[in-house]
Amino acid sequence: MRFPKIAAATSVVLLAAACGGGGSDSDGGGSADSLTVWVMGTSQPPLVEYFEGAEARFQENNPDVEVNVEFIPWPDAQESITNALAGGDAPDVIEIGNDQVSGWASQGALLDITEQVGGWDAAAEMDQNALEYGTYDGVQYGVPWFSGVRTLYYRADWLQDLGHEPPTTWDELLTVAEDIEAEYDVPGFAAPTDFTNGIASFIWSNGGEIATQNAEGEWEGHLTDPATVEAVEFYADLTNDGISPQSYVGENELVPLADMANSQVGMYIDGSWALTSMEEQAEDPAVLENIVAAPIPGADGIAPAFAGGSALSVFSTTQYPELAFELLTVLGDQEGGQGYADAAGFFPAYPELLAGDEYQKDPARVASATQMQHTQFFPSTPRWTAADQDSKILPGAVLEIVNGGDPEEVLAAANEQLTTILNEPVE
Amino acid sequence: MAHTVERAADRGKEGTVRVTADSAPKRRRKPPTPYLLIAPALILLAVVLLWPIVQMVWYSLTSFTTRNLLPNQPGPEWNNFAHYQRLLTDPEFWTILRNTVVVCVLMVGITMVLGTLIGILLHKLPKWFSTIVSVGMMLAWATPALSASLVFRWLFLPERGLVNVTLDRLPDWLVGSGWLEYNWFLQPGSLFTILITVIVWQSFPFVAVSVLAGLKSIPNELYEAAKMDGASAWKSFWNVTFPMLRPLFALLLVLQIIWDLRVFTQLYILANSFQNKDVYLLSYYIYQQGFSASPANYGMGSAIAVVMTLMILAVTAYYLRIMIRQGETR
Repeated sequence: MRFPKIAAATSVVLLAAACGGGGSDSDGGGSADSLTVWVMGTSQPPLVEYFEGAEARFQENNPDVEVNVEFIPWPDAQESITNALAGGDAPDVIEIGNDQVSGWASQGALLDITEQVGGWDAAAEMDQNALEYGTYDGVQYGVPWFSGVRTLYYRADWLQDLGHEPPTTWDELLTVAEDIEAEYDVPGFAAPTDFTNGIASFIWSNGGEIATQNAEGEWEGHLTDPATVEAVEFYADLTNDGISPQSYVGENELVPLADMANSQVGMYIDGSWALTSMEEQAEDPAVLENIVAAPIPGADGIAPAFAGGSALSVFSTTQYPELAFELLTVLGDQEGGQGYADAAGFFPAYPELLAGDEYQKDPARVASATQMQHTQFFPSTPRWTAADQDSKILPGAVLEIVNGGDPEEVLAAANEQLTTILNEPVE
Repeated sequence: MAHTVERAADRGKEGTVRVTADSAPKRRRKPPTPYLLIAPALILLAVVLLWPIVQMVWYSLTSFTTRNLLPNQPGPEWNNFAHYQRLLTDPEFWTILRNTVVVCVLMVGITMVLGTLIGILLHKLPKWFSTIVSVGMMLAWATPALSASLVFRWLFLPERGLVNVTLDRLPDWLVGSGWLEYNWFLQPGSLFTILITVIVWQSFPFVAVSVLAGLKSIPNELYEAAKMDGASAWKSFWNVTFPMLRPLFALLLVLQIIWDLRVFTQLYILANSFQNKDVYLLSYYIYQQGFSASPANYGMGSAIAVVMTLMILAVTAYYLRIMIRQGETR
């Protein structure tokens, strides 16, 4: 727990059929026998199959280069990258959370790929906002690989019995949650406090903001704006008023996930990838058929969700930058991007693909596909990770308010801290 | 005691005689064998103990982050005590330091008192019974910190923890109401109470068994004599047991302080990662800054570690002073 090792990360080595022969000398940095890709998450059969396919495609042009894939669990990502930076065992291509690209770029972990991306046709077809989000200081460090949004999960059978439609506004959310609690004696809605993504949705849906950059490039926190205060208060009051139980205070969305899988909560917010974990945690898998997703209810209408997702980057210590970028294009073009998104339960980063029936008509995907059209990004600065992951400003503020703190005072202090951290020079 | 002092004095006299009788140059020619023999051990110690400390102090004076780890980047740069300036002027740091001291004092105090009492109890129990109790205690001692903290976290979970459910079922006039919903892990007061409980639960067996071993070495005649003089149990503890076991108590005290200052795992589990700054302790703060922060701030982490090292060195120095005074180092 204390020092999770990279060695502990699940690693799967894909075998290459090719043997013997010389390597390709195309990038002038000596010949490569193999390239390593780091993917976040755990190894699952469909993903392994995907990477076998990707390797085969890559080997059409580079028959002698193996592709090794290592799966790094999300919570270990930071330490693994730090260790890789320190000089050992670095990958050539890496998947990185899209809100962390600028952070690692500022630390020198990622390679400048502005030129290569400029000459890559597929880049023009990508979601341009997401592509822009992969830059730092005007330099391209990552290209969007897939996207995923959080949606509201609810118990369809319960709502049907109660005669409710899935809630679309805050008021409806309260009504449905109260009715679930009255009828089934389990909490109606889960509002875990360590959940920046969820809290942000509530803020954005009320017309609030977290922070914006002014004309001089200075960041300004907006946590004291009335709309933001109102939204945070609403979120904290879900716990204070007993809609969401105390046991979710100080927790992230993984605890309600387990409860959802075991009929212990009526509604909660999570991403499409959560269903896989629910399958593992459900004592009675039949329950899962009744867990359905809907767009996140906002103050009035659909709330924007964080445009989550991952980017593909080339690690700065790679010996074969050109070959690594070539591998990146195989993974990240329309074919590779859609293949991975399908295998892992995400959405491709190409709007053109998203518009297809496959995503718009599939009942399992329609909620996310709708939600994808209502998204927003966190402040695009390397300091955002420091403010969120490290200082936990929003989760900390909600925690304090739930603890009895005065919302105005708590948010004023949090806003000051947020502004300071976002404006600190990048060390 | 008197015996030791006498012998030391004798030796001193002999030494003086020899120095005056033999000539000084002869002494200089003495072969350096003892130093050569001890050299490998000293060098090894310097490498594994001193060098990391030197590095830590150096890092704490630089702006060292993950970026500086890269082979093609410049090394960390001197930053003019910026980390220390920031720490000393940061009220948050002073709160964490104060909490660390208070929590550590409570942990050590309760562990020592409880451990001593149980040690005495074990000494009085019949052998078979004291064996059973010792084995039970050693199981608590041997439980991995991670498992122990998880068990305590489950015990105190709101809505489903055994403690909350039990308190909720007890009559309201006795314990008040609303326990089922009560979250112990949010406020420093209640969280530190659980933390202290876990630590004490895990560390008192060591003290108890050590005290038991110490008690067995005290001749029974002393207690008989005390009894003859009409001393109560309380008096015979303070006038016989405590003075006899003083070096043992000093050693246990110092060890406990050092261990409890470094508490990390238990807090990590109970506080559920790093979101609640109110419940940070120094060791926790070091890890948060040095490893969990993004980017990891090795300079700041080292600076806090230097503060903690100084605290531990101060405790150790005090202990050494007592030991030297008592002649225990010979």
